Amino acid sequence: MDVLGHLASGFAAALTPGNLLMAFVGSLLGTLVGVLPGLGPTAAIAILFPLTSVLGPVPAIIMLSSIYYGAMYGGSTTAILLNIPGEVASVPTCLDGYPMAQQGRGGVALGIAAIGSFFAGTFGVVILTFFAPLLADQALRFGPPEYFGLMVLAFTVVVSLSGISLARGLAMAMLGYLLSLIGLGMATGEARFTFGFEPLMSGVDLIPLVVGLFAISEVFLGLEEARVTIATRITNVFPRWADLKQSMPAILRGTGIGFFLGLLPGCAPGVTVFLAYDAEKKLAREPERFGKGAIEGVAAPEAANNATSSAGFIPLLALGIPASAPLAILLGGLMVYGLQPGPLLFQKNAEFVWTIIASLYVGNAILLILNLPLVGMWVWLTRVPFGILGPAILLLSFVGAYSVRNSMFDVAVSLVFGFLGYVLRKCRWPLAPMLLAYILGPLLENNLIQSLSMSGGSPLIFVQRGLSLALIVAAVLLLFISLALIRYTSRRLRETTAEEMAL
Amino acid sequence: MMPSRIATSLMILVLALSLVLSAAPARAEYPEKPVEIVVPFVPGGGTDLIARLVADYLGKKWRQPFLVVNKPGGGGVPGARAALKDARPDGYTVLMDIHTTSSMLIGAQKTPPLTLADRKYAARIVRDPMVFAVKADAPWKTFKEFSEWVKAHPDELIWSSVGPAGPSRYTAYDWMTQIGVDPTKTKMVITQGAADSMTKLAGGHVQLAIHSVAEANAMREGGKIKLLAVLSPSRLKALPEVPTAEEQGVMKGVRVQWWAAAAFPAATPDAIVKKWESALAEMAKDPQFLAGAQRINMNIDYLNAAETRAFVEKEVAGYTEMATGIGIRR
Repeated sequence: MDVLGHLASGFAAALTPGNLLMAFVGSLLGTLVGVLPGLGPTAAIAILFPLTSVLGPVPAIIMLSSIYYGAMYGGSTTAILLNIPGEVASVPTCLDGYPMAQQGRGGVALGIAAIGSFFAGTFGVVILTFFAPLLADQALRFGPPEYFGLMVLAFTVVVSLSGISLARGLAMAMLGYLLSLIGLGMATGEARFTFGFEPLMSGVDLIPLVVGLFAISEVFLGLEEARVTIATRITNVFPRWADLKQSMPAILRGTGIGFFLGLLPGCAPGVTVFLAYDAEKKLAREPERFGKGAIEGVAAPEAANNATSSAGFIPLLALGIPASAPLAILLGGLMVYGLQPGPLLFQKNAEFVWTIIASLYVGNAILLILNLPLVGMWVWLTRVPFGILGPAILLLSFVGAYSVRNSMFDVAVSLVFGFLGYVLRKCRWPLAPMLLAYILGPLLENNLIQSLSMSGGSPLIFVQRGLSLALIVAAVLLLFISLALIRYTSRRLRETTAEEMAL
Repeated sequence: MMPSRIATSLMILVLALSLVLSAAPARAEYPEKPVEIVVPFVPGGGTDLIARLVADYLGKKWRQPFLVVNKPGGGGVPGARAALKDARPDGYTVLMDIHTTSSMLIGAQKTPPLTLADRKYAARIVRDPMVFAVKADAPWKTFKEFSEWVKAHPDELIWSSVGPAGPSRYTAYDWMTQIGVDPTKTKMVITQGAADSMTKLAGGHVQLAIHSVAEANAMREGGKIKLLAVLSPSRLKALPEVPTAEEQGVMKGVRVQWWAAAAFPAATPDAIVKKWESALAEMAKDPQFLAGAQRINMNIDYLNAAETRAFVEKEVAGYTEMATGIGIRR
């Protein structure tokens, strides 16, 4: 079957009432959590992740991706209305979005953000549709040495996930890797780092880890910060024709920048949004309008944000490389269902992949339909006091951690990681590299051991096979590109927020 | 208000009725409440699928909910222990026991965390034999031919095993010692599971993979691999064209296979275990159940309680000997 045939059957599956409902509920929940002040996409997907584990693989991943998209959009809402970026990716949106809100044009800013996101997201998915299968055609050629090369490539992502300090990022990646070692070693069957404590035999489960690090720690931070709520009035969310005409080129450029850079494994939205914003400012006839409520300043980074997020699905599904923390959680979600992303996913689970791809189109459309009329409700939600929010998140987190294996031990694990996450975030140690290494570390180790078993212990196997050599060379190149991009982004971030924010 | 008063009295009536009913002497008819079937592995695997089929059948037969509870991790030991040792031996918790959590575990350890004395078997339900699989375009036509090649070039054989002490490794050890090949001379690639191993075989990264029929079937139907032999006393109904290892004159006896049985904590009343035994015997002949089992590639092969116990004891002896030979018994 060709791509279109696959896609058609994917749509047939994605449009069944059950899956459509999942996409709808996911978008709604994602936006809902993303809108809550201070909760970005990572926290949103971490809080809601366990809820999806009661579903089958297809509805669960559809829901998770919709949550991701929804939370990204919700994050823009708080950036525009409250000047609170949930994550780095929303920082440029604040620059012109908040001034627009102050001028009473908050609704228009939200509308343009929704339209830009829809356009960029859909564009990204279209390219994903045609591009990913090309990569996947190579599937069976990937043996252990090739996967090892791929994992080396994936680990260069640590650089762009590190934020202010590469040393801290590397240290956190090492910590994540150490955590992944706990339990029975795959190649030996021996217990490692369990200290004779039996519940640790099966290792630290992903869901309690994610829930603790990203959701429970958020509650602790929130309690401490005493987050303020601001009343904003929204009048009209539908942009005027003139607004649309003014922002369309910005949306196109933002989409282009966001998408093509987003194809690089490890180029997170946090990087591309700044590039897109700067490009608009350089191209504008009156650059001084920027920072004072220029609509292009909202349109371009929002488009770039969503384009990068969709582009991120290509390295995620076709190679198993997550570009950002939420995608790393999504990768974990796939692996919970035994769906190992990588070239083989398209061969072994074609039906699954195409349903997901189709549901990304559906999710983007639902978001647009959902968000324009519901902006008023989202605004109202930003005023929910943390005293109600905090306990609700905590409750959801505990239920989620427990339900994975029906075990209280996992609840304790989530609480321990909640405290750990809180301390680490207070001290500005980046959590994303830790999560990445925790998820990919065992794959790196297994493929290394398997490759060496195949070659009888000779490491030359990695350079003798063309594909694995190419991947390792690509990893080295990407390392330098990432280093350059990250230097640029952290400089821009310092200029913009006058503070050091974890990427 | 009248309507609400009626509603209240109705409510009281219902409550009173339910009290009367629950206070009535127990009908002594097992099961009176939901039964948990513990699967010590993740949802979607072979053990889980067969447990769900059994739950479905018994749930309809006995008109009580049968809940499949997955307690994965730690090679199945924590889940099996929860069902056999931590649960009340009242017949409302049953373990879907397989070779990994019983015979293979007991054979590989001098002081195993769970022994045969900890369980009472109701019946074996499934027996899924191992098959020797090579890539579809591999040069070998028969298992005999392949074994001759391995005898001549042991150091060229790269084969995939699942885990360091899984059924594939035991089968390979049994086969190699029978044809006189030193297993340590071959290259073993330890994979994460049957799916991982089968893809490596289809991609030509390993030359041999040894799996149960259920695990190998998808790739065989996809035309990516071929089966050289099945390790079973006789050919399988589902795979009539695949000869046994014994009829090709390569191996004698069957010491490794995938199987699943229903096991209760040792102190469970005999009457309940008996009831399960006869129910499972009926189930193994039920056409609807058999059709479901065929869909998940499960070879239903019933043994009663006593036969199951003898079968597992014999396996323990085999695994103890092989684990010692491989050098993984500790």
